[in-house]
Amino acid sequence: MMWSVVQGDLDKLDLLFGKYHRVLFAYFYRLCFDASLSEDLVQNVFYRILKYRKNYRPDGRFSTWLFQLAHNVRYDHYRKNRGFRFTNDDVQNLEIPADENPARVFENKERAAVLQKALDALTPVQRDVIVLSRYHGLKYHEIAAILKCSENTVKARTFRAVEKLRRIFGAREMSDEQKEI
Amino acid sequence: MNRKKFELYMAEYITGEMSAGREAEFREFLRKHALDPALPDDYKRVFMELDDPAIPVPGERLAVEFRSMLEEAKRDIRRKAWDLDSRPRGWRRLVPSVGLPGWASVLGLVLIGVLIGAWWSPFRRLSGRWDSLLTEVKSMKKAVVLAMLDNPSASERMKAVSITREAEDLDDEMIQALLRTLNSDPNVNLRLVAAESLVGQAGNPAVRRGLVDSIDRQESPLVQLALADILLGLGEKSAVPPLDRLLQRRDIDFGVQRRLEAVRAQLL
Repeated sequence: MMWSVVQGDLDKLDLLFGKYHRVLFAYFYRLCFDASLSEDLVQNVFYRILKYRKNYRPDGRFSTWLFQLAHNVRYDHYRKNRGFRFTNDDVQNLEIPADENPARVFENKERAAVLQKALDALTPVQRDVIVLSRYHGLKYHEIAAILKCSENTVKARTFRAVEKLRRIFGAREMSDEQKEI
Repeated sequence: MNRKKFELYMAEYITGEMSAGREAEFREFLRKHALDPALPDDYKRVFMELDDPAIPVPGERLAVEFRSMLEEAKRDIRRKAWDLDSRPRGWRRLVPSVGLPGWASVLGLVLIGVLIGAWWSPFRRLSGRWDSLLTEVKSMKKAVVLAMLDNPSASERMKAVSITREAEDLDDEMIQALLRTLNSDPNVNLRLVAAESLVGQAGNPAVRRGLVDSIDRQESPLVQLALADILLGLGEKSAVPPLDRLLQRRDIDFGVQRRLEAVRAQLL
């Protein structure tokens, strides 16, 4: 489909949008927890696909190229805005559906807040590998192609990210136990 | 302890990308360095229990802005209709870049100009010459496309295959070149486009035979499925024996297996 776009059939880009915009939105949302920003970044990715379509090479998978663009868009935003920090707003502003158990919703909000803080404690490169491997199910060689680094580098980042998360969650569990005592 | 090695082992274990052999090696590593054997599972639990945050649905604004951007891009292209980059596709492919294909294309266009001039010339007795020049142009175009099909660049090979898709009738040499692409090009996308191009020539028995022979030579599930669907569309019952051979392979993908069995049943 992308090859058709390269050859001038721009209507195919609409099909690609239909297929991939939610995947991209989820990718950005997991990194920033900001729906409005995530929409802007998705738009930016498709703008770049349109602008740089003649640079597309059919050698590899389209999804790898797409995530490479998404990664670059994210880093350009990070550089311009001096940080890509999580905002708590979307988590706190979750509405409670009428039929939902408020206690359960509160627990979900709390878990989301904890997750958000834990991911925020990671470096940007560590967050990248965790999001791509844990939530998008990509293999190390695919992530290496997206981030343009070696597979071993991706593995090392993943291990160190999980090590840090283990420390954070371990400290939280101890703190919860102390509250119960 | 080799810390780097430990990190690589752990990373592979955490995400489930560790083979059985490699895991045995890892367990030996843990034992040798007196590390807690429960440690890998503890890390894996942290990774696997990371909640996936509830992802909201993107707003309507995103789709509206995207479509608006796309419409503007299309308008831009129409405005630049006489710009070099926006000449009609068929013609543009004859001028891909400098080098043999580019020069051969230019020469072909010059010859076409000569032919048109000869046709309108009062010297109509040149009509015999006209036919031979036309043949030369066709032969040159074929040589260009064949050369592009052997180009190390996947993009050039893709352009060549795309040109053949619009041809009404391809000769044996072109068909054999496309079948070679289908059977041995290292790029899966190219194989798929070659298969699509060959469908356009399915009236030729050699093409049908080539498509049938190709199916159990393919390793990529995408190409296997594409060929199966093509042969079903052609109602090609001679595809049943190679389908049977493919279905007997141990390494066949489960989803592919189910689809091939359905195709086989419909062909019989």
